Amino acid sequence: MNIQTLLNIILIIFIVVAGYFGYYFLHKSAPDFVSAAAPVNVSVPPHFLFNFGDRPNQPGSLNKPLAVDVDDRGNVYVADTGNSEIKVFNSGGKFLYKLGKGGKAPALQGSAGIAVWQDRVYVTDGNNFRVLEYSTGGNFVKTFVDKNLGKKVGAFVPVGVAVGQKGDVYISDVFYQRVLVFDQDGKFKFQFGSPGSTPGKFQYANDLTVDKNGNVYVSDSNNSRVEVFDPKGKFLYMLGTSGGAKADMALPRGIDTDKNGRIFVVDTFQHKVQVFDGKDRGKLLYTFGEKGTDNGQFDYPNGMAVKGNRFFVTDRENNRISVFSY
Amino acid sequence: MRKILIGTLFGVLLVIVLSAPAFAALPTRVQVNVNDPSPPNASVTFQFSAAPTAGTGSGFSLEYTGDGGAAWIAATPDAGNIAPNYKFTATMVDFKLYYVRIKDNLADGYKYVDVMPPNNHGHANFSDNTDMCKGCHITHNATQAKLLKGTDTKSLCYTCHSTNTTTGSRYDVQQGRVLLGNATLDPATLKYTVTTATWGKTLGGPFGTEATPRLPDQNLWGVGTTVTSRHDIEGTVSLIPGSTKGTPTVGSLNGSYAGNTMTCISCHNGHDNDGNYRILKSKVWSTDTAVTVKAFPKTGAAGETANYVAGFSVYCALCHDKFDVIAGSGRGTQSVYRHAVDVPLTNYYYTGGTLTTSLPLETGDPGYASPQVTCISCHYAHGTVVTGTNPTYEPNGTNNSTMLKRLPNMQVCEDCHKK
Repeated sequence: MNIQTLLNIILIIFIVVAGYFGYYFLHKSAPDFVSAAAPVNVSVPPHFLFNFGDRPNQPGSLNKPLAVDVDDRGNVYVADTGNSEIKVFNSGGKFLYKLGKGGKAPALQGSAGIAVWQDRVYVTDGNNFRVLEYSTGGNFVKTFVDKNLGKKVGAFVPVGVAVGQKGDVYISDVFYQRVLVFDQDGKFKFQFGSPGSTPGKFQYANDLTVDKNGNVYVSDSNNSRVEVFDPKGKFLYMLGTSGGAKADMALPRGIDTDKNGRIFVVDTFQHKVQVFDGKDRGKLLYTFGEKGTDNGQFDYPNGMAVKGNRFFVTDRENNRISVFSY
Repeated sequence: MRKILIGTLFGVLLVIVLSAPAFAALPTRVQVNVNDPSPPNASVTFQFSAAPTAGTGSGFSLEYTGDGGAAWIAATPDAGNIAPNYKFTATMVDFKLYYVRIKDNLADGYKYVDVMPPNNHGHANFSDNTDMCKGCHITHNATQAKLLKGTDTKSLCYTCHSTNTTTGSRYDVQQGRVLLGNATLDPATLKYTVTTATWGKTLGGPFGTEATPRLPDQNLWGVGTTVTSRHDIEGTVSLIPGSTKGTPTVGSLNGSYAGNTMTCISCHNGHDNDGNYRILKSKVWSTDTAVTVKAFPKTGAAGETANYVAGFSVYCALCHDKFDVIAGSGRGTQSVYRHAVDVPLTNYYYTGGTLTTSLPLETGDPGYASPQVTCISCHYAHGTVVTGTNPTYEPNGTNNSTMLKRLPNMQVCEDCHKK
């Protein structure tokens, strides 16, 4: 064995080792909270952990953030709506990068919805009547749905976005007040809902989420309620003032569910998060947050993401993300 | 015998009362239901209860316009139209703004309602849908008086009507834009389909962001990204330009809010009780005489346009009363000369013939012989992005401002007085 061969072997070993550790770093080193589950029988709210994004004039400064989601590594994707950017932070709130690296991504004009699924990031760009797809690495992939869809189903203005277990993408539309459903290639599948206030209808549907059973929870904002549908869009029941579960709900917007089936609803007008038991058709369990600027308080919160036993809320007027945990 | 006489007299009086012609009674509340809101068109019903003036050909008619009042289309009453309950149905194009007028056929005057299918009007005509109350009020957990949500008026209104939150309304007054739909006609089926959504300019102009009045880089106004002057909502009013009214105090204004703070409800009534254009209040100050402000907006390719009919200068003068000079540009009883409003375009200070303008004029109700100049001929109501400031009349003639003008510098002068 000559020296050249030996060096090549060492190089290969080095690459393999580096690759292994790189993979481990990226995929196996997710913080504990990602895989942790909140206690099942909890009747008290989570405690405040920390805020981020509210230091002015920093690369990670936020301006009127509306939406948030978290990937499997614990990285946090924030719709920094006032700056028309999607910013990515690590699980500790350190700014990492903006989506759309490389300068080829189309410019956003605000954004009110964001959903991470596997290595994909879906972003609603309602002011431009489209939904964009990025990679979790930050690169722009494609325009997932563009306004030409309107020729088939009528014009639409996407706001909220969520992904089901099989990759189907659910998008709320505040133009015709409905939910549009696409497969993971962006092919339109079906729609449900229409303008109105009777069960199954919407007045400015906002955020939405899909639970592990495929049921779809839609914040029907201007009707002050959350509506629940089966995976095919059949209306099941409601949460809220006029819903099946009584709750003084004012303006529900951000919504997510946890592994135990609990439903977390951000009530923008009441500056708090309301938590319902999904197993009992929406029994109100507890709330957390109140109006203010201190830690654990909100000023017009809007978006919500649950990852493991950690809870992320976009605190719009405080220009920050507030993080809670058990 | 006495009881018989009294009974007979009472019966005669009752017959007289019941058979007497009723006073003209336009409906106070009209229920507007969008029955079929799915594209391409919407079926809209209008229901009301009212007693028309008695006489030959009595009853109500209902007409609607989608072109700013240039043409009024008569709606056919439903078969079940039985007094005093009336019902009309019209087929309307989604995302087109319509004005509807209801007339007692034997009396003067109209009742107006507006509708833009497929959504309900969030501020009016909600008697058919009491769930709309929840949009602004909450029964047991309110943060403002009158069971209102939010912490102040602007934050309540802006939760649906600002740039970052237009997820709750078509109107973004912060950026001065409205969501429109472009409908195309299928010649085979003669049905419309709304295939694209677009943003168009609002009629009032933009307010901009709160602290520094800016607009996003992408905006419809084009001239720049800064709002150069505006009615400063949630700003403290210390001096109203051109006003003899003084500083507002609690109780001096028509509404239950902090007296010296200008806010959305200084001019607008969230319940549309006054029936004015754009839910404008009929009184700004408690002592005002009620003002009728009438206009018929319509959806256009680039936004909304309006046929301004009547009442605008009078309305602005509820605060800016010194500027309400209605003859020539004479000084009248005031110590300074001012440009007149509510005057027709004639050849004042122009020797080239009759004045012409691209600026909006008021058409009159009943129609003026010639359209007239009004405050909003030169000024936006909310804000402007134009540049080119001039010294303001008040407080001391040294503050420079664009004063909500529609055109840069003094181009609003040149637009009529072409020199």
